Amino acid sequence: MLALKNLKKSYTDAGEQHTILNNINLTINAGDSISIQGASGSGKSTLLHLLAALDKPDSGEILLNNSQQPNQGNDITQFTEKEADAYRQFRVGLIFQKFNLIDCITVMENVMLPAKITGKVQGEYIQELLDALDIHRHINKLPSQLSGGEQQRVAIARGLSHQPPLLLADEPTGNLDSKNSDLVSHLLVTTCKKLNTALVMVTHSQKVALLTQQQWYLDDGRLTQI
Amino acid sequence: MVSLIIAAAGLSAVLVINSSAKQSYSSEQQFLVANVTYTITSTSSKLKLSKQDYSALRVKGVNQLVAVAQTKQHVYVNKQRITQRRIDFTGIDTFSLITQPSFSNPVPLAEQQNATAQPDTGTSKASNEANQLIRQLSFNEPTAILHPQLLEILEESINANLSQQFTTQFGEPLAGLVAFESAVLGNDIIMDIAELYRLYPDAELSMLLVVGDLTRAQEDALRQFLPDNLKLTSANDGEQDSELTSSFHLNLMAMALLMFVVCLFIVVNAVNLLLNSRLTWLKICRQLGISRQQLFVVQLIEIVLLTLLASFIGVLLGIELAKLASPTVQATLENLYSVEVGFGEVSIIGLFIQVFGICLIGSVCATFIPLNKLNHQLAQTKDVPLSLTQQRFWNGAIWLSFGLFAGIAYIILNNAQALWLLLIATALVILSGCCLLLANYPSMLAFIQRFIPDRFPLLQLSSKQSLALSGKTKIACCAFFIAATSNIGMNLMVDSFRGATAGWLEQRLAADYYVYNSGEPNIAELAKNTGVNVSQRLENYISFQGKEMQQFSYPTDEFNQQAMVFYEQSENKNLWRQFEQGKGVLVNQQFAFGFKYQVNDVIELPHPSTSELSSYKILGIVYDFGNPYAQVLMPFDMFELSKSKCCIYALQGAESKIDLLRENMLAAGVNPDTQLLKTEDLLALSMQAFDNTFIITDGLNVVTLLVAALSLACAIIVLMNDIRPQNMLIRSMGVSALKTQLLALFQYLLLCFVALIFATPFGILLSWILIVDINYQAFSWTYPLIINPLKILQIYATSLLVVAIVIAIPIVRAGKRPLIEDIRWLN
Repeated sequence: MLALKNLKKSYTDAGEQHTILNNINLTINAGDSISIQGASGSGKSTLLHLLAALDKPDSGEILLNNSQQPNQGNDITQFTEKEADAYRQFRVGLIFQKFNLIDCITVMENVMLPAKITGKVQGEYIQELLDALDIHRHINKLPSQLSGGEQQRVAIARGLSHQPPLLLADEPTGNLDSKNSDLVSHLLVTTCKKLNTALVMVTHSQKVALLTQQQWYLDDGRLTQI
Repeated sequence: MVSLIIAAAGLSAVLVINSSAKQSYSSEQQFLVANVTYTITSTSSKLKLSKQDYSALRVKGVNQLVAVAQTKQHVYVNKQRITQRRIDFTGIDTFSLITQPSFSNPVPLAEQQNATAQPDTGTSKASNEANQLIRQLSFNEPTAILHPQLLEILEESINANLSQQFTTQFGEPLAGLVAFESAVLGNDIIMDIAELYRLYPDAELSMLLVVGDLTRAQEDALRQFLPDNLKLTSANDGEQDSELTSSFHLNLMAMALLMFVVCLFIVVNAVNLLLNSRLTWLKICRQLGISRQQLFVVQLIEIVLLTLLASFIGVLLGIELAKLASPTVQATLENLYSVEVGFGEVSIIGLFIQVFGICLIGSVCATFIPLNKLNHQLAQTKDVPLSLTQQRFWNGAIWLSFGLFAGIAYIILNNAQALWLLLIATALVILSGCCLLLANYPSMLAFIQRFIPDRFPLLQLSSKQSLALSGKTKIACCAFFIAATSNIGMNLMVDSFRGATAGWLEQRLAADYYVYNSGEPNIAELAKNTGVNVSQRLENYISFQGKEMQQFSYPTDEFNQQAMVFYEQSENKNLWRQFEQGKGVLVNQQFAFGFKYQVNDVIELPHPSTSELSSYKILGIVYDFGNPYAQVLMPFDMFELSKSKCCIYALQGAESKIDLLRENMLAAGVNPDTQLLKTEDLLALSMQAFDNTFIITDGLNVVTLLVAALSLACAIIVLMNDIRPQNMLIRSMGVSALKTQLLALFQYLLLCFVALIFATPFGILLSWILIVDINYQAFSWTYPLIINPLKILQIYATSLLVVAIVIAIPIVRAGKRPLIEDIRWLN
């Protein structure tokens, strides 16, 4: 589905250049679940941002649909802003550490928002999603009326409601206690598997990482599989 | 800080303009020359004071007279006009002045104040100082005195290195200009009368000053000597109509009040948002053990210092703003009140104290609210929405305030007659509107949401976010509501007034042509043998209940009967017959409202020709917009040409016959190009004057809207961090930056739209109060309220456009930030 080739990213701080991603190569297939671990500031989130076409690398390619050679339109690092918007709208779901739910609308409206934006509203699928994440009881509540764990489950449902082939989760359990962390990460992985959605999850927790099929570690700009 | 500076600058500018206008208005009735006890002027602007009148009075032994001549002219440099508005060139007969015994012995200031019983504007003191300068005018090289600010404006246009000099239109160099600080100078350049006539030979005498006290016998003798076209007025008489004075002050007061309220709202809004944005930080401080009192004191000190600095910068900016705006404001006030508005003496310290005081009141009030909120939130880790009970309490409080404000306003409007009370009632009506708006924002927004189709999920979302925003921008929304209400109210009032004036003029100006000519020759005589039908309007100025009023003739033929526009008339079918028989009179609104008379009341008036007092029934009340005088209309036959003056002639006749009259007028030395006006031209001229008069109203409306929009923009800048996560989220879902910006714009425009919906009935109500109550009390006239839906829609469009332009700046700025920055900031 996505192939990362020789991806490089560096930044300059106080005149000194720091390479945070150095020749990253990774293939993500449909239904894969991948976790990326690493120390704070190691570049995990940066890698996720590159996958979401939110940021651009210094060099390298991210090829769509496992193309072996970059063609016009399949390297997301070359996307225009409009193409990047369309890519995020239809192909990617995002989950953040801070749940970022919209306070003034209900749980159901939060979940449905990406589906409505893309015009992919499928009642049965949404129902299945709500059941899988066990939030159907809260659909008419406002986010402020939910606990942290419940809010993150709503965020997962929202990330998946438009049926993206790829879900990118940036430390989704970082704000949760261990009990909720276990529950949410388990639900996240199983729901993605059930829906055949590829999952790339950045996490500090080894316990959470172990739930995924592939565990990768980012250190000194190099990505190595554990 | 920017908000505070904007508020302080706006308030300072209005206060400076007000102060200058008031000082100039006072100076209209005061003189640069000390010890002026009486003035001699023409009885009407159409009857001129001549040099012959001056010399005749002096020949008769009235030696205390000093002639003053005036002409309005532009100033030129290298034959290029450098002044935007014409300057008053005033010539004083200085030789006559300095030979007056009282000129050498100026009356002490205290005595002058007692004698004139006028408020101290510093003018009398200035007059004593000015005497020294006036002495110079006569004995030294030609010199002219003017206000330093006027000199500064003139000097901006010349290049000193090129030895350029000021000249008249004809290239005559102006005498050495000497600056002299006095509000009395206004927009004048004062010089010796001989110098004025050298520069402008056509300048006319404007008044004769009587310098020094007159004995009773001298005064009686002087009155006897005066020809019919002149009148003697005591210098401490005021002379100007009280209605005019009150309307002038009313306008200035309304301007200041409006700016004061908007300024207060901006300050409260800015400080409230500033402290709210710090709430998290303050919460941490409280958790660290810093007491509420300590935090309050620290915040208060900071706010006071900020207000102090902002007021200082704002006052300086405001003075500059007032200077920039003064030509337009001056021109408008001249049109409105025939007041020569010059440059006031602005006390920066006084102004600063006023502005700082008002801003401080707003700041301190605004400091209490968030700190009180902090007390409740100390134990909470996240913002919790109000409980149902709390919501009900606040909702009830808002409804109660609405009822209270509306009730008090209703009682005042139905019972009070004092202008200041009516203005308070107007303010209460607007405040009740604010309460109604706040109480109904949620239901109104929910109602609008119903009409947004499901296929626009982002629009639906935005409309829901508007509701959340309305809670955070309450004060800014109220400021916008006030601006929109006053905008609709003022516009409808002006529109109604315009419609009433146009209709009234069109009906009243029924003749084909009008001639304005005072005194000789009589145009009716010139029209003999030309076939032009001439109808003369004769006038007398009489005293009624101690006030000067007009007694006008009105023709009674069918044609002129149709031309009369009644506000109210007797149900008597024989109205015109009774009028013709001299049994009844018609009065203008100014008479009826000013003296509290109604139709069918009986009044006692002097007969226009015999001056004998007789009783007359009021048969009708007529419209007479723009006339500061109370007026009574009587049939033409009751007047005698020898005892009344004729200034206006209504003409009817074919173009060829009018041409003959033109020739006769030319032969008699009357310029038909300036004196003879076609009705259409007269109508166009009148309406142009009307529109010019209300430029200031339009200007004020736009300024108020702009200030309210700026207040909203300041609120948005502070709230940007609040809506940043939501915008980030929507953008992360693949919604383009442009769409996100448009959605943010939509949210605020929706809030403004709802405010406009509520402002509409309140604007109409405001306009009704202005027409029926305020106009009645201030100007003694009223007219029907015309509600023009197109005008209201135009105000909607203008208001939303102004808001869109102003708030687009912070929204576009925020939208330009890369999405990745927002994501990093948030996570």
